[in-house]
Amino acid sequence: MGYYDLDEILADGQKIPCRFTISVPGLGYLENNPGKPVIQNTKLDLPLWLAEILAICEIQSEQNDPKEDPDQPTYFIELIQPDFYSSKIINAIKTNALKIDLHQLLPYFYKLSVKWGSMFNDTELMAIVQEMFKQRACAINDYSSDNNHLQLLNSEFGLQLDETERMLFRQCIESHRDLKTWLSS
Amino acid sequence: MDETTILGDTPLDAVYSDRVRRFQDFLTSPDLGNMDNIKKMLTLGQRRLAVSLDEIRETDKDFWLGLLNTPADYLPACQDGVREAIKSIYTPIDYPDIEITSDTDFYVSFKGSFGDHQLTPRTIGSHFLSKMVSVEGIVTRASLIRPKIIKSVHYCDATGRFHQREYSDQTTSFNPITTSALYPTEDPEGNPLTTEYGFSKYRDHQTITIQELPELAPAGQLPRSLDVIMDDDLVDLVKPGDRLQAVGVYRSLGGVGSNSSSFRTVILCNSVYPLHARSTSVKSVERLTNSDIRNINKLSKKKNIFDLMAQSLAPSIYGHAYIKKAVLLMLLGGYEKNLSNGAHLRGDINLLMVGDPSTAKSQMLRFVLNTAPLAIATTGRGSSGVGLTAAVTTDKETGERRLEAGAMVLADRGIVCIDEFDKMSDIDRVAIHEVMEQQTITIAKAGIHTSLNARCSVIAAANPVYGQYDTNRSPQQNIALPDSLLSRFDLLFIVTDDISDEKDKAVSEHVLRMHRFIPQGYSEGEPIRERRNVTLAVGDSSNQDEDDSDDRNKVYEKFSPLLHSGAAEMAEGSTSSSKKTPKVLNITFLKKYIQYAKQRIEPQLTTECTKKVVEIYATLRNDHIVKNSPITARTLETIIRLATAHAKVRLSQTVEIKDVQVAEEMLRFSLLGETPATKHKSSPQKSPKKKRKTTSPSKKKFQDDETELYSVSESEPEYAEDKDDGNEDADVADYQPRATTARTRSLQERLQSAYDEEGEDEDMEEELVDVEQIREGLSQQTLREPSNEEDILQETNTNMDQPATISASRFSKFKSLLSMLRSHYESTSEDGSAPVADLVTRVNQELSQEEQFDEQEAYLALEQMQEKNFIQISEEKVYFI
Repeated sequence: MGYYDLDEILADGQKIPCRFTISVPGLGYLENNPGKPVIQNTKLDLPLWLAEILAICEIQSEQNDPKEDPDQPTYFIELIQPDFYSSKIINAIKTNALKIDLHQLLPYFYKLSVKWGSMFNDTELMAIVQEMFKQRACAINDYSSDNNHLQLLNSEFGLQLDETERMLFRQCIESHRDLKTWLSS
Repeated sequence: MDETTILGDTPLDAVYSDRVRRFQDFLTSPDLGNMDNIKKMLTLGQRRLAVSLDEIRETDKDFWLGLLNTPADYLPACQDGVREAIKSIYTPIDYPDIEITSDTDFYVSFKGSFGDHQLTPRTIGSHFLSKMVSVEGIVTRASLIRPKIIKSVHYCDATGRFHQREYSDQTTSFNPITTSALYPTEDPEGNPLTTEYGFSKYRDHQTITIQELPELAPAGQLPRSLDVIMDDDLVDLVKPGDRLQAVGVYRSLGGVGSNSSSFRTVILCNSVYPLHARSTSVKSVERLTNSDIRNINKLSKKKNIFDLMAQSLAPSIYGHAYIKKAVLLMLLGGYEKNLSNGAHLRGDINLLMVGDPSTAKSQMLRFVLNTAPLAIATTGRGSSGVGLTAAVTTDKETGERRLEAGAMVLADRGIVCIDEFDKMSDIDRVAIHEVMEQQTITIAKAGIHTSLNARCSVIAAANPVYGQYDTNRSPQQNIALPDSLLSRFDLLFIVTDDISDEKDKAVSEHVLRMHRFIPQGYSEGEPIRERRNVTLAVGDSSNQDEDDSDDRNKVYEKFSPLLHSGAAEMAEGSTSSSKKTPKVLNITFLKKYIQYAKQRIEPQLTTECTKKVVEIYATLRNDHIVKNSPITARTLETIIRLATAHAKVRLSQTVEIKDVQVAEEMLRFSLLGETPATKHKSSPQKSPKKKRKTTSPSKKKFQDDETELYSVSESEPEYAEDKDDGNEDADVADYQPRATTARTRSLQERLQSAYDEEGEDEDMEEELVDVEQIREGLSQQTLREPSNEEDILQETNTNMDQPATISASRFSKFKSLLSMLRSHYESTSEDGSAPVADLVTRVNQELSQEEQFDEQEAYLALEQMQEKNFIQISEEKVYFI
């Protein structure tokens, strides 16, 4: 988890939906419409690192009008709840965490969840994600004992792991192997 | 489902009553709104309450686990819970639609996330037995609905007492003991009993078979199927072909034979959710909001609404402006009438596209399939006449004969898309004749005589007989469908795949642009992921709607040059001067518009319109030009239908002249290949169409809408280059039918009809002078050298006796007659040659008096054909090549 961590960078580059609160000229190429402005209330997917900044940067109005419109947006964009935190997904996670295809949903689900959770201070979501991680980690550990780890790779669950879980799986296998060598020596 | 609990004779032990109480707590919990749902249910007179599994899990996790894993213990408790909750609020005055007695059953249906209990008929295994599961699939078979005895009441004459017996088997309750299905005949003392059928209680019962969704089945494997039992209020909710998600308890019914260890398994269904997917017979209905209606009304005021809507259809398909317009009219449909004498006037518009391979015909069908509220796809080879209409089958359970609806019956009030129409065998094709005009299917076989409604539009795509459209042959020969069938199609489009540099370039650019398009959220080179969120929650449609509420309210699609260039091209074609980005309507909005127009608007013909319609029909009938399909009285109705559909586009309650004009334009394009560019003065800058001389006139006609764009840019010198001295009169003849301006066009027509009908007319004199002037002007432009033939032509022109040139229609008529005679000569004469004089006589024999070719005309036609290397003329003899 460092500045040069590739996974971290990739997680940061994950696109999340945003809504523009103002019209921006010349940004049309973002929505396959080169040369045109992005108009107000356009929905666009932006990478997290950019969206985060734009969502918290305040717009400095040029003339400090005292009778400024209170509805005037103060931020460039506003974040919309992404699909992967929709109630549907959350319900599915609560129903059976092992059956969620995290890899298809979002390959950096946990990394992004941590960022999202800290941005919005969403403890409820974090509790759910944490519970999910615990359940899945147990399953991963079960699979990573020597006889089983090939099974996981062949099973459906093995294809549904998120990148963090894959790393965890690798480490579990190694530690099991180390334990075995230590016991036998 | 469990009867025993309702009558109160089950030991209501503490555990059971605790479960009932817990479910009641859940129902009455104020923040979940279940009580409101119960009230709504009672008001509607229904007996099935939908509850969310997610909400149950949030309130009582143990109960949720129990419900999913041991529904036999929990489901009866739930039903009792609902019953108790209803009892607490029910009054007959408040809810007149439902009467509650001790016999009234209440059920619970479930929605929400099923996790690993979300299955398909393939993934369901033995460890799911006696658990609650959700299965999705397509209904392949639905049995008859039959009553099942639940409780029988008997009266004993001797004692004057009533006896009752309850019946339960594996499918009606979770009690594993199946009671005997026999009615008791005597009471314990041996007195005879009379069954009181009126007091007995029966329940509807139906078994359906669902099959794995074919697209989700693993590659190379046949889909598997599963039986689902639908009881009581669930019967008749689905029909074969529907896609659905069914929630229920997976049960085994015990051994099939006495010594068999295999079991028959079924799902005892408690909730059904239809899935709206394309090519199902589930009709999708758009919800119209106030703002939608405002938008629709605002849009309908636009002048170019017809063009705007047509160009928004299938923006991924390049060109084919007229077909798109026709599809739009078809989606709207005409106005159906049922006369008091029993006659039925069809309102649906039928379309046929005949054309070369790879001209996006099937793409158009797919588009219709996805857009129309109800559309069913079939192919010519994959469907039989019986499969399209109706079949008599034998019911597996009862052995009774019954009727099974075919594709066209299922598509009642919808659209049937038939691909590869030409590949269909003639016998099967005849089966749809009745549907296409009478819109009913009459069946008299196997003791069943009935008539089914099949009020559907047909859109069909076919290839020409020889694979490629052969321009040397007449349309009839190319299409090779009987006139009886062709006349049932309102519009027939011939789509030819012509080789032209500009068009090919434009099409390839368009196709490449489509391939370059990357959906939002994807990086370059990333494979498109399949969306599988659908199965995450069962029966939760409300969430979806909220998600894309923004998209739903949009009127216009954001224009993307990569996706919508097809529309851009069309817009340019119609308005020519406007260079601004074309507007493309959002497809959801378009659907709403069509739905609104279809429901609300019933246009009436005005008197002036009827006159116009009659006029158009008479002109078409009298025209002796080669037409793609026969002109019959059905054509008259076609004009009315098309005009009515166009009035619907404008949301107008009356059919006006402009609607009829559009109808005529469409019909003329379909029949004769004429475009408004040649009919009306749409833009002054349009130069005369010039084609490579190899294209024959009949072929060129159909590509007009595609080529008009480019013909503007074609320069004059090119035309001059194209010709050499020898073939110039052929070029003149070739050029003639595609007249320069509207004026010459109409002139040409009048000339033609005048010639055809009366032979001579006083007006013709000055008109012909006009033609000559124009021709002279052109000859100056194109630097033609004067030749003898030219002189002759001009002379004859001034003589006024005969037409100097041969029109394209006359030429193609001559050509088709010649090809008919070809075999005659090839068999009779040694070298296959034909003397010219004899040939002309024989050709004329085939024609009526006013259609005869005179010497001059025949000579011109033969010359023209020689130029095109169809024949060789030498020494007054014609040699076929």
